[in-house]
Amino acid sequence: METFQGFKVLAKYRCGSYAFGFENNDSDNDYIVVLDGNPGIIIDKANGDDIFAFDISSFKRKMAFDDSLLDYLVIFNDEVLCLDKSLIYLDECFKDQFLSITKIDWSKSVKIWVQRNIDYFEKYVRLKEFSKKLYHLYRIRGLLAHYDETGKFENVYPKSYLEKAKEYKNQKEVIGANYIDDFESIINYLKKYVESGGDADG
Amino acid sequence: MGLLKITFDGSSVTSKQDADFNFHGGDLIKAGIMESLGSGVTCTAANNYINFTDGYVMIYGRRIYVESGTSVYISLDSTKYGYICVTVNLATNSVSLEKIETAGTYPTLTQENLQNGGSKYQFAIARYTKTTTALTLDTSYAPTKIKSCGTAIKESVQQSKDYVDDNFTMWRSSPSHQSGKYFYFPNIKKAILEKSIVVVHILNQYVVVSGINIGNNTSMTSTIYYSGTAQCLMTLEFLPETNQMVIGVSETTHNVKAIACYR
Repeated sequence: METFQGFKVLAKYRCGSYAFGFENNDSDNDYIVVLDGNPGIIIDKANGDDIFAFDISSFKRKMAFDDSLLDYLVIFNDEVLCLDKSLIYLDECFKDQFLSITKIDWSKSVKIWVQRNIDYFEKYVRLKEFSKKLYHLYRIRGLLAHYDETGKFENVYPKSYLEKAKEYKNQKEVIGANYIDDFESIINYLKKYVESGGDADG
Repeated sequence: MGLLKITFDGSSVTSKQDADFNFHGGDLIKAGIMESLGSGVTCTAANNYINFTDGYVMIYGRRIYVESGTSVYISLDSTKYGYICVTVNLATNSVSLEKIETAGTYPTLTQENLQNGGSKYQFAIARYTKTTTALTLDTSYAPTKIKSCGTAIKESVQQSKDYVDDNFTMWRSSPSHQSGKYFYFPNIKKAILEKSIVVVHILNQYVVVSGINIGNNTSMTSTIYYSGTAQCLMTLEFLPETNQMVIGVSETTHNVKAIACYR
């Protein structure tokens, strides 16, 4: 039985760039872990891996985009779209509940997901702080483009956004000046998306 | 070979020996304007002239007095970059005030070691550009100053104090502003932050965080328990381009009042 800080692990899956398929040699190994008991939220390192551990109650709040959680903990909830590849362990007794919790109704949640991403990423763009994590902006924009095109909210990106995200993320040294126009444009698109209820192009 | 009396009655002292001691007394600064003597050889431009106030220049210990009202005429015959130099030429035992100009870039000056066999040194006391219609002094140019011992010591003491303040004393910072769930702390130096233990005043509690872990563009998360068992988290992140730290909290009401950093 796997445990983390003394709590039984009910589920474990990869998150971050490995889950989304954007990993490179510099990528961290990030994992979401759901724990039995009531430890709340534990963010820690274990054997060099970054662990984001939640008890069931906190995990539910995360998946519900609970406003009382850090943006950082909910903006990557689309990681559940990759569970078919990223799931490492799921305790049989927790299976049904896990599948229920992670079954996000994106038609209802997409706006709040976008808004939380704006809340988190806008400051980097406004201050021209070119963190590597800004590749997510291309990813999010691509995901929305695919959603708009197909009606399917899934971890699939049009080629142009996919390539841009990889190009940005794989830079040895980030040269933000080449991307700032794109980022500002994406932030504006996302704002319009929220304001228009998902019809930013219209 | 033998001993030569210098500061003795009837001694014969060369200008070179005198200059060597001046050079040493001036902190071995090759050339500069003697600070706080006369009016400091400051310059202004008017009617195609560059005019100087009086003061003293010392080049490898050779002292030169610049008289009040000394001026140099700049002919507006072309576009050039130029210096006004006090030039010492030991080969001819002369000192002169001259303009040296070249097109395209500032000229290279001759600056030989007068203490060790060299004969010529050009010390620029003003820098300018000119066109066929205008003369412009470069006010950003600051000739070297030779300070008095007392001033130099005071500055060194102040630098030492600043170094201690910058590297070892406790410092405190309040957020410049809050935007949603993010509190911004300006004017944070990464090198200092990394040497600090950071105490965050949040939710009427003091939360201790290791500064070394608040690195470039990576978020560090810390957990706070309040009102008994309630849990909230905060992220701390240093933004290197704008030298600020941003603390993200779970709820906008989780007021971050200040940070105190102990080194």
